[in-house]
Amino acid sequence: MALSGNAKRSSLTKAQWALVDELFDAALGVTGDPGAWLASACPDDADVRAEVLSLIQSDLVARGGFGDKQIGPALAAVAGAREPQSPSRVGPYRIMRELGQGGMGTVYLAERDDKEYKTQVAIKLVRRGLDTDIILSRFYRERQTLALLQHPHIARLLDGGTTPEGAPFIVMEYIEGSRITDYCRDRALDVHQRLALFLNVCKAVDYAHRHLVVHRDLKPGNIMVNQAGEVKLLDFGICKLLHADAEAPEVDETVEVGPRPLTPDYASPEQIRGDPITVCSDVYSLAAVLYDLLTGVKPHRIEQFAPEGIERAICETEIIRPSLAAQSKDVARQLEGDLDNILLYALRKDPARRYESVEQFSEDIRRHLTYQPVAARPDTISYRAGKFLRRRRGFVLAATAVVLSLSAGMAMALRSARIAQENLRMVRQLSNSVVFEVYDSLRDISGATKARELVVKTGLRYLDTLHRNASGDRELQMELAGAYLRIGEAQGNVMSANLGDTAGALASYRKALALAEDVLRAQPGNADAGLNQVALYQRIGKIEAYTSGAAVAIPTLEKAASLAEDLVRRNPDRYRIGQELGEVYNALGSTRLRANLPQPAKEAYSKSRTLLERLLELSPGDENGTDRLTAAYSGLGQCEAQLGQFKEALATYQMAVLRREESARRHPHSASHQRNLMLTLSHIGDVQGSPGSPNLGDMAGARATFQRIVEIARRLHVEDPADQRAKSDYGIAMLRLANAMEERSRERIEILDKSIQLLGETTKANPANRADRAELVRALLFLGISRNATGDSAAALRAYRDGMRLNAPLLAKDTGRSAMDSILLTANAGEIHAARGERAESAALVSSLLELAAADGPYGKGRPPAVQVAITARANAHIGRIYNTLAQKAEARRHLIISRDAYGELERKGALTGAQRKSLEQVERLLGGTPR
Amino acid sequence: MTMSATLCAPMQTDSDITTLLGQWKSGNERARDQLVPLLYAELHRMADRYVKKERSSQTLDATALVHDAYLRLVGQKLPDWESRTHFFAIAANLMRQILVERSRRFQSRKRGGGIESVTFNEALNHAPEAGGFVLDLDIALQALAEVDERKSKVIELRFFAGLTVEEVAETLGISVATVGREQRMAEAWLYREMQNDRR
Repeated sequence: MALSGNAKRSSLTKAQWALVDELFDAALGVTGDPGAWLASACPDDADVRAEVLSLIQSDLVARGGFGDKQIGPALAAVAGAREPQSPSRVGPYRIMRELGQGGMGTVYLAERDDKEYKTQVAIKLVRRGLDTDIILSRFYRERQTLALLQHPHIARLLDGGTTPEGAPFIVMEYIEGSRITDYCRDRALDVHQRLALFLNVCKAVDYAHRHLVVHRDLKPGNIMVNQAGEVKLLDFGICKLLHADAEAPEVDETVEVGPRPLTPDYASPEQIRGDPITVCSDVYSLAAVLYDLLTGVKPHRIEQFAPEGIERAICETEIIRPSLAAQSKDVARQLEGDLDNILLYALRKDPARRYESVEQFSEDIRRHLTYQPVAARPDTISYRAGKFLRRRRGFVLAATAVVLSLSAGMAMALRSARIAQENLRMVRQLSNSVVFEVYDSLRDISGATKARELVVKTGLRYLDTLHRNASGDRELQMELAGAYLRIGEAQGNVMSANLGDTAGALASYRKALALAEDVLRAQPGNADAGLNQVALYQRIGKIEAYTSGAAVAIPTLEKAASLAEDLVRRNPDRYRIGQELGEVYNALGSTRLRANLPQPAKEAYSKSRTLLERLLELSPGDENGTDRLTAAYSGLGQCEAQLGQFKEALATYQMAVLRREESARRHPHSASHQRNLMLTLSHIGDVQGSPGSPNLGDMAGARATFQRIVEIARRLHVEDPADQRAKSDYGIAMLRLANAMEERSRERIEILDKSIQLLGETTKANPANRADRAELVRALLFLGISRNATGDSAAALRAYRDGMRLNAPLLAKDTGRSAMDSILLTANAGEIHAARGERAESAALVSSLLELAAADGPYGKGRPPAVQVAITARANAHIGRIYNTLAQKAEARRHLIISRDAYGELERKGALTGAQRKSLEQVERLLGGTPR
Repeated sequence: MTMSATLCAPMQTDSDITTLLGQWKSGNERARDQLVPLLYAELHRMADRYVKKERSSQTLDATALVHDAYLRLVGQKLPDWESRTHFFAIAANLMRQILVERSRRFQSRKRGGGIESVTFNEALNHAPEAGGFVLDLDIALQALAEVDERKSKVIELRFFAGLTVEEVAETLGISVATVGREQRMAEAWLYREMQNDRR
């Protein structure tokens, strides 16, 4: 049955038209149903009413932006476009004529200028100015894969290169024919014939999928049919190549980068939203084309030509049943039932609910054609509502397509359980290059958390399978070690926005370490294996620092350092090894610092700084090297601050900040760069005026600095609310800001409340993360202090008790910091009870304090002596105060003297922090002397 | 003829151009010499208007377009425009012709582009698809002109000449409110017309 679709324009008389004009204008102002209003306003003339109604319908859509958004830009584009200059030769090909213009460039008909044979080819000359370098590198890398696509229904990629002017070109098989939609229309093919043709298209797409290539731009314009009735698919994989990826440096933040589909008519919802593309996206687009082929209309009804309208139409609006959309009753009858279900099944908004592959899709069609029952079922009500969260349009990365198509391909290959050795090798190589390319490009971009999770899950499944078959194969083992390392980073590396799975990360790292050491036993001189080993110890050490504490982490890191120093001695020219040593020194410095060992930490950082400065001279463009050096500066500054060398610390930090700001500018979408900047700024804030550490006393300066940090952190959190790291950074940033504010201020309380809320969420999501928990505890302490200062002692007590409860698990593996937190919480609570005269409660808390502070008590193990003294001083100061308030002067005096003596000891060894000095002054006052 | 600083000067007053036109019609060749740079400036301003609306307009280059229009304009033996607003109407028509020809040159495919291909801020990259759109628009406009000439002129003046609503009102001798009404109905009509030509 022929399908055609041209509406006839109705012809009205001049008088009628004038009436239409008047009525249209009036109808626009009508609030109810225009049809009803028209019936009364113009009862006699049905043609006029019809015309007005039709125009109103049209106005509804056109008003959204037909004029401004379609006509204007189209004219502007034509007006401003440069006239293309036709080249006469491209490489060994002579240009005959222009065939047309595609999205990315011009296509020419050319002939190979050879005496021997004259073959006709189509050459696509890529337009310059579209991040051509990135395109080129992608292209060369991918050419192998694409050249392997040899299928009778796919236009072959024959060659490629660059003209002397630097324009890349692609040589393809020349296809003469018409688009599939036109072909079917011109020959008035019936439903059966169209389906048969379509199945050939599916064969081609399926073939490509098995070769791990996703088309991503399937539409009638890319599906040609030649005179012989053969289907030919165009532009395979080229779409993936010719779009700049998100790493382009100077990207205007308000412009969305990434392959937006050129026509939204056949694009899948995930493409529109900027989510990762899978084979199911091709299934969707194919189904959209089939819909068009069978019904004569496109599946998407776009109401408004703005991005929101397009997104709504594709991602939310339900697609009309094909049988209802069909142009003729006859066709509708044929589509009703099976074909309706098949099409709608493939056109589901959620990729996971569609056919899993093109093969399944075409299989169902075949079943329909042979009168067998089909697999497709109508959708359930709850899904039909199209409950899809509107995701922010993130950055679509071209290579993601291959990874996720890899998982589909792998699933197919593994299930069939007959993997040729060559295939395995090829697949392995491919995945190694592509999986991590994808991960790398995803790593630093805020907003890609869900995509990362998917990469990790897929990658692990794949690697574990290979691991099972890997013994004895040194090369494979090395690759696997590297692969597990990268996956481990994805799972829990603390420096990037992570998924919070530190246990998983450790497991992956340990697998990798075992593999690397296995290789080293067999090949002791293998520097790469040695490097892997060092890198793994270093990463394991970092995680241990977070989850198990410094006591476990430092030995691991020291081992890493000695292995690395050894490796450097044996391979003095390997830049990479030097960098890894720098990384280890940094990790060691950081862990020592957190364990309250500023002098040893300073030594580590100084070594690191010297080494990395030298290395950076050798290779100034090394981004990672610069980052590492900046981290060394930052760490060094912290050590200087802790040792009381404030001016030096500020100067060192300023150097770090400058570098961090520069890096952040160069990577505006990288969460980890922003985080580094925040960290460094927070050091400055601390030195300026953070009460918790020795500082310069510049509170206003500190507040300003912390406010800046809060702004950065807020932005990162808002960009990806699922990112635990960003959430905790935001919470911690607010905590620091609050700490620099006046105790009694309303604002401080509000900020603390918010901080507590955020940190509460992140600690719940990852209970193993000690750092966040400690910050939460501190927040509660500050809140309690502020509440108490503003007169709400009940709320203060609540906060203190919450803090004590949350801090309990941290006391187990503590080096003193958590003990101090508990002491402060307990002491403050105790003072409130004492002020109320509640002896029993106060006594209980004093016992707690004594237990917490005791060097030989349950929490005293593992405390460095200096920390113990500070704890003794502080705890006893508070106990003394409590007794004093309870009018137990003798007891008070006893404890206050212990405290004073301890402070004296501290002073002899080094400067007191601001808080310590204040505490000492109180002690002095209570003892009746004059403050020193 | 020299391009004087009037290229950057604000809008020429109607009286200048109208007066010069009158003089030119009476045979004053010098008047023409004075007229041309003023007209060139007007044309440039028109082209700039709809080119600059695009965010990415820095890379678009309307100069060629203006040059074309200008050449044709002064190539006419005797202008039959009476006034500046009359000039607008002619210029709009001229721009339309030029753009349609350009669109034809960009199109090598046998069938037209239709609405499907243009998404608004990718127009820069898709001049050929935009060309198809322009050709279809031209046909649709012709059809509209057969039904209602004034509406077709409104569209032409608003989009091809880039005139403001006030200027269009002045050119056609109607009220500003009427221009709005005409434009709205014309757009609805054109949209429907072009939808029917898809595929």
